[in-house]
Amino acid sequence: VSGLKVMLVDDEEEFVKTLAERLDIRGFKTWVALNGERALEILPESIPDVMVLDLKMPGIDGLEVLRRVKRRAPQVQVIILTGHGSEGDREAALRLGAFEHLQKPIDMATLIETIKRAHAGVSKESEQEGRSL
Amino acid sequence: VKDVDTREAAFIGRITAGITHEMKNVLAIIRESAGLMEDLLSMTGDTGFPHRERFVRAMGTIQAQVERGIDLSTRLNRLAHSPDAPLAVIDLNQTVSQMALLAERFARLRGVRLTAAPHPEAIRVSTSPVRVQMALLAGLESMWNSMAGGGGLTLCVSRIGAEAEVAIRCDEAPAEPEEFEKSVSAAPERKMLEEILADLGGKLRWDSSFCGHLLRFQEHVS
Repeated sequence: VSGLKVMLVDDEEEFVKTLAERLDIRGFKTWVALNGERALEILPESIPDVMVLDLKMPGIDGLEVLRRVKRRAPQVQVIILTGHGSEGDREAALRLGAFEHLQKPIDMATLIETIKRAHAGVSKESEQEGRSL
Repeated sequence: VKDVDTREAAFIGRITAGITHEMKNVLAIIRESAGLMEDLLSMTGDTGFPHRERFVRAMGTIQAQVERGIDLSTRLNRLAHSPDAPLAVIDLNQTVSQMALLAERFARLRGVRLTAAPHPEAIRVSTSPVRVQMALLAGLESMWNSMAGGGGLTLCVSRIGAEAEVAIRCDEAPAEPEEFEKSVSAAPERKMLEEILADLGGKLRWDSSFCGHLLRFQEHVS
């Protein structure tokens, strides 16, 4: 994972900064945006490999950020990480091109494994299919 | 009156659902902060911290309680969303599992253990999600209030023909089954259970073979 670039977008400052610190310890290169507007503002000069994105934020919500990121930088893999996980939101996020939809709080091992798969472009389903062959 | 009741339930549900989301955020912060402390400790090496073992043990307790909090918040969130639709198709397995967890504290104060025994397959019923949960709690209360010596109760889901069944049964047979049945039948919660089941179009009877309530509903066919 050395140097893998991850942008974390969440308005819960304590949460997202601590999460970034833990990922940094594990060799990721992270940066944080505390709202959707800021994430879109810094995107052109700081294109990450993977974006970890909350859904419910003041201002532009996560689904709209996802839509705009996929339009401007489709190579960025977006993982939704939210505490507001309705089935409708999950379906909408996946339809808009999110790689995965995870619930907060998240186990660090699961998050890292998902970031790695997102970077490799390997979904859980295709990984399982590969194993069963 | 029912319309006002429905709106009141929806209001309380909406506020509670919002708060449970915030509780999840709080738990996420505690979890990540505890995780960061563990990360930093692991970077100090085995001899760098004199109280390492006690520290790790305390961190383990924090993590375990966070997991417990997450589970409770998730269940409370589902309960809060129950009034969203006055009628909905629910999976009785999820409903009894949720009730076993949410009512656990009330049961514990009575010295009673609660267990959920879901059916291996989804058992769907088209009904009022709030009222089914009220019925289950009334059934449980009517029984544990009559269990002076404590014990265990199991919420067991099964399919009987075209009907879905929830049995609320004693894990151990009471010392005096007839006295127990009399006491449960006289409980005000039993009366409430009867009224709710009648309102839902369900059936209710006492099963002497395992000393408990049998609640039956028409299974939903999609």
